Amino acid sequence: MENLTDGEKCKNLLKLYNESEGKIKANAMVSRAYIDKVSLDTIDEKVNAQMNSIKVGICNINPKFKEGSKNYDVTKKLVSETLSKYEQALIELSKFYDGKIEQLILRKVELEASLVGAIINEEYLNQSIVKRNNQKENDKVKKSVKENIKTVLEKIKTKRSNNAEVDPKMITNLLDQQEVAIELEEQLSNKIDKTVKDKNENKEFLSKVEKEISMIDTEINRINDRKKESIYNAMEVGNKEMITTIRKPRMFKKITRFFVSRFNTAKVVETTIIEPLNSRIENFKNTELSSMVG
Amino acid sequence: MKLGTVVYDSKIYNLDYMTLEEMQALLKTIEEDKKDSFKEAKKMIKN
Repeated sequence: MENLTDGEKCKNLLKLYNESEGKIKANAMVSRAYIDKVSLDTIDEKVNAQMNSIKVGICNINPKFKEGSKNYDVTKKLVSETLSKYEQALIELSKFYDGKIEQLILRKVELEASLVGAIINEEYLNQSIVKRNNQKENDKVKKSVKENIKTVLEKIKTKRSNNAEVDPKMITNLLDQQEVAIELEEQLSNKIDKTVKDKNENKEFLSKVEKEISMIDTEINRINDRKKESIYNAMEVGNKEMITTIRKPRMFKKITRFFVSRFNTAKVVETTIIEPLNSRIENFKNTELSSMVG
Repeated sequence: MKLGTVVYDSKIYNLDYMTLEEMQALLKTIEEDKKDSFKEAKKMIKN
């Protein structure tokens, strides 16, 4: 990049400032929507799997139980209510994680805004140092004092060469002028040193902010992955894999098709599928979920 | 659930109708644009 003038740099920095706001906002909005979408899709997948599991379970109990069968509507309603509770519990679980991610997204917005400020500040401090250095070289008061010292020294020199008496006030004046010159030099140097110190601090701040932003990105991904895993594992039985079938109740294994019609399928479905699922949902809400949410 | 719309780079994105992959791609684009802007600005102030 060729050397730009101060004016061009300012123009580019203004462009950065104006464009950053839009980019940072868009990034935050899309990030937030993304984590919601991950939650929605994962929960949908899990609820569908559970629904398939129930369907398979019902089919295993009585393959002829369908629309039009006795008490089918009752079963349908119970299944719907249970799945609704199941979904609600998963939504609560996802909200726990999404809340954490949201805080991180907001923190990232703050940091990115600070980053823009620090970059602009960096240029301001660069220009400040140059300005103060120029000031130090060309300070009018300093120049004037130096001129006075020179004049007084020349007068003393002339008087000495003419063997004339040198007025002690002249020497005192000279010493005073020198002190003023030293003080001025110190003041101007201090201003430069302070600006250099500010610039170094700003640089450190910039580096720190960039590091924190990078850590936040990693943490957001980590929590999102944990959320998915947590949703997949919630309310599962056995080895915690998502199951699509359930085992037929043991006592019915030997029943032949001839006897199946004698049993109240709806009642069997309720007892062997819906109630255990409801129980798992309640257990999940009262243990894992309440310990997370507090 | 209303995820909203976002306007970016003169395009409108309806987040409710985007797939996860499309959202990820959009996020990646925005992140890269941002990083490039910051990188260029830092390079400029060094000179």
